Amino acid sequence: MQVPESASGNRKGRIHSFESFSALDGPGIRYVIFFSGCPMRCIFCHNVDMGESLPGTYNEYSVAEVVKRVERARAYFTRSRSGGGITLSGGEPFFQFEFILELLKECKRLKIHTVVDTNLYASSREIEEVSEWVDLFLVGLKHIDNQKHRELTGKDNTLILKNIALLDSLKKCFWLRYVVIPGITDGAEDIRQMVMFLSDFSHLELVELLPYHRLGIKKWDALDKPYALPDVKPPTAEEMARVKEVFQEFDLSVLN
Amino acid sequence: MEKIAHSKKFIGGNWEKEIDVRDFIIRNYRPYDGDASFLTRSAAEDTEKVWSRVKNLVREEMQKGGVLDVDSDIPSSITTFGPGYIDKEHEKIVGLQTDAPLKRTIKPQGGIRMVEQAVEMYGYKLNPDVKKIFTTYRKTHNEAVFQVYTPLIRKLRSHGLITGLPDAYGRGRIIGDYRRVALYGVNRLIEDKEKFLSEMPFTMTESNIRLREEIAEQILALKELKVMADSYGYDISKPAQNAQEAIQWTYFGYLGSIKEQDGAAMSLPGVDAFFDIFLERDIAAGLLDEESAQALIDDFVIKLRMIRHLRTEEYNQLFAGDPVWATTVIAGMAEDGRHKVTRTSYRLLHTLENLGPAPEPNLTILWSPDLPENFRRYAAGLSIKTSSIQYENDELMRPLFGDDYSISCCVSAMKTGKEMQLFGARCNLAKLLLLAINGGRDEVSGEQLGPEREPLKGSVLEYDEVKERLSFYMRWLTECYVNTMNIIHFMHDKYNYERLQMALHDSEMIRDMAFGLAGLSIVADSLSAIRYAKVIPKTDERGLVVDYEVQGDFPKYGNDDDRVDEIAVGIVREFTENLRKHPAHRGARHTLSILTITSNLVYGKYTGSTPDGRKAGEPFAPGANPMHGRDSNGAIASLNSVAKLPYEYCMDGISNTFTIVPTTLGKDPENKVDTLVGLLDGYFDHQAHHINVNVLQRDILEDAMVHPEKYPQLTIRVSGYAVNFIKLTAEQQREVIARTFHAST
Repeated sequence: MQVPESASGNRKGRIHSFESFSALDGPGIRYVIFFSGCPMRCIFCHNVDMGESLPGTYNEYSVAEVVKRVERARAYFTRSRSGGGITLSGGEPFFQFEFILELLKECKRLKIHTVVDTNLYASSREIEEVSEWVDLFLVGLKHIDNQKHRELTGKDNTLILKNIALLDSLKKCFWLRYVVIPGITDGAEDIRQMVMFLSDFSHLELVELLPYHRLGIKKWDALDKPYALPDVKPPTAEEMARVKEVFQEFDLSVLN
Repeated sequence: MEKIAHSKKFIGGNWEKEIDVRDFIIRNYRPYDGDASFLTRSAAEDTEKVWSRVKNLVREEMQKGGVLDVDSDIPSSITTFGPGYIDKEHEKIVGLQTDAPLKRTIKPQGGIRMVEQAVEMYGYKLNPDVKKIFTTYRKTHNEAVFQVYTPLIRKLRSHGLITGLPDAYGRGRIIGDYRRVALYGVNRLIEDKEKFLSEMPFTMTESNIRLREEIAEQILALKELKVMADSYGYDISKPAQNAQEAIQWTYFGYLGSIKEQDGAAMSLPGVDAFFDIFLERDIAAGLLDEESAQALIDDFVIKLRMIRHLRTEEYNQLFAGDPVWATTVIAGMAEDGRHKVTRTSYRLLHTLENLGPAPEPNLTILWSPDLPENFRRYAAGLSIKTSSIQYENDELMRPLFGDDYSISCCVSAMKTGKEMQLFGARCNLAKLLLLAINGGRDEVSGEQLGPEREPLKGSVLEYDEVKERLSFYMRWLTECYVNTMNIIHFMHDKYNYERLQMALHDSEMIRDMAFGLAGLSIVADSLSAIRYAKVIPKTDERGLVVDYEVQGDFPKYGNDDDRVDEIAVGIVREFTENLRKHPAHRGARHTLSILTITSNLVYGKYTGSTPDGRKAGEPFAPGANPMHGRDSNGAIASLNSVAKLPYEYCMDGISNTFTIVPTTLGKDPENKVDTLVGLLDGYFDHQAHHINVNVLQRDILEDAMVHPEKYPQLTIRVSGYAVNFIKLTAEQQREVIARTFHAST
């Protein structure tokens, strides 16, 4: 008699691509899964090809298939002094909530360190449910000001800010990743306001300031989409340092 | 044993009874677990003086088109040329190939035509007497080989199916145990050889006569070595008494060898633990301090950076950048479980900081997860700074070669002083695949080279059919290849015997015949394309398949995908198994390397379009690397694919050249070191054999192409060795720049 497979065993994730090695997406050596699909439409997105799950831009994989790949990097995680593990990125991993829940559970069963790189634009229930299986969140906050956030991403940031607070109340460690775009996200008052907001959280381990870069533009061109920031330049070292100072005033650990 | 009575402080053992350097090292060396903080901050004043003189000379050499001077009158031997110095007053370790620095010499025993070509290429004229001697009275290796080559062998060679063969240049790859000179003194080594001769059986078979003659030549070479050292004021008949002498004697052994031979790779044994025993003894006795100890090592390394051979244009294409492969291994584990990291392992690596990066000596770390973390981190940190180090897996090699083995050239392991290699360059496997598809015809000339078979029928290539054909032609080619090598090495032994290097081996030794493959990634990808996509052959008016149309996607080697990686594994097994069916010269064991040096460019030029979508003339990937840009799942997946190639079938080494952009390794310097150590540990945990680590920004290389004067010491690892980037041709530079640079997106 044929035993019906559980629904979960059949679930497939829509994955844009795999990066078997990264040292910049969480602690140690990371195997990064780039999920296809994102609810936000950031005008400076550097992975715009992963935003909309258009046919032909992703492949489908089962949890077992993904885990099999990750296992091939295990020796690198365990040998590395700073460890390593899997990082779910994208796109937006929470866009495929059921799949990542199952994947993360399986990784934890196999004792693989888990990181989720997310914009937290997801329901609080989903975040709470997933968080049990996540060792570290990388939270990509785009802007503290709601109006500017809407202009930048097409979405409200209220839910995101609420979810950051939720992570902290769940005692979940997280890093904050913030893209510094000259003239757009580096306003002195905005930065100060963001730092005030963040300084309340005891589980915020690190702030990563990411200098805006233009390497993603070719992906917009390839999709024939107009890029909204044609004239914006990457920040100078001084501009980065100025932003960093504000964080340090509040004793937040910053890496850039 | 009065000779060694002086060294009473050394712990005795079998090394006193027999020639056994390993025993001396194991009993006397002390592992060092500490960090690099004991090292000097910078080079000693005298070293600086010598080194700045060398830098000026090297600049002058570059300005003169790559060659500073040539002596085209006197064939070089151990005793030709009087003593030479860079800056006599400040040198601690002395000895040059000639009476002046960077002057190149002729060695016509290998072949007079090549010598003449090379001399003329640099605007000199070969002495007519030398030409007369080596055309009228004295046969050369090159001449002898070509007398015996069959028409088929000549064709395989001229069509580039087997290329780079050492039939027109010295075979090299032989590593004399130069440490023996220091530990025993030359008189004891001569006694040992004489004793062997006296105990040989009386029956004069061909092999016994040959061996008697060889040993007699070895004894002569040892005597000449004493004369050479004497010209520098050193009596090396007795063992070295202190660290300076130990390093100097060892270097003399090597110097004598490179004066006699200009083989393609002239490598050294591991010297770190050996020198360390002497250095630490002198330091303990108050005879040396750290600065003077480092100065001895720096001076020794300066000498290794100055070795020059005279090469032809053709040679330079295959082995670009004027390499000599003064390879020396560092660290590794002892069989008793102790690691072999010593302070001198650090001192050798520290030369990259004191003197700046350089391709020579070819610093090769024998990696084990059991090496102390301090050392692994120090080495990785230097890789990040200098891109001048290669790493090889001690855990794979130690079970096969023991704990006193050396690496010759790039990746070829051998038991020091007990094993030698018969070098055999490589076969162009991609070309063989095209020949198989074309029923034995060369895909460029159309000439029938192999046994004739019907051209493939059908409009789409069928995997099983192509695979069967490849096996058929592989059986044919491996037979030709082994027999070609037998000719070359028979004649090399006879006409261009490495007297001194062999004298620094046991009288009876193990021989490996080292075959090679180029184009592995192309063939694996081609077979994968045929199997998983649709490959349509395009035939020209001669009925030759000259191009391929690939429809659809297929798994590509370099993405940790078993579907294609297993094809690559299958090929190397099959190739080696076929080689083993044909007896090799003097009972040699058949080994195989997946290594290209810089011939990946030349091979590409001579190879038509391949079924993986590569177009005619395009370069191959170097060594065992995936094809440029096809490893699209990141660094670990790429490394894991290469790691699958089985070392037991590729015991001459599997070369992987890895390039990563510095920022990709992490945010801060400590973090970068952690990441690189993790990558190395993980890779070798997958049973990988070798890796060249480059930590480089593509735009630096682009800038160096335009402004070479800004980058006199820019060193990059290419395929088992390092080169000075600005010494490559523009074409070679472009190929290096086109390689996969692992970077975060």
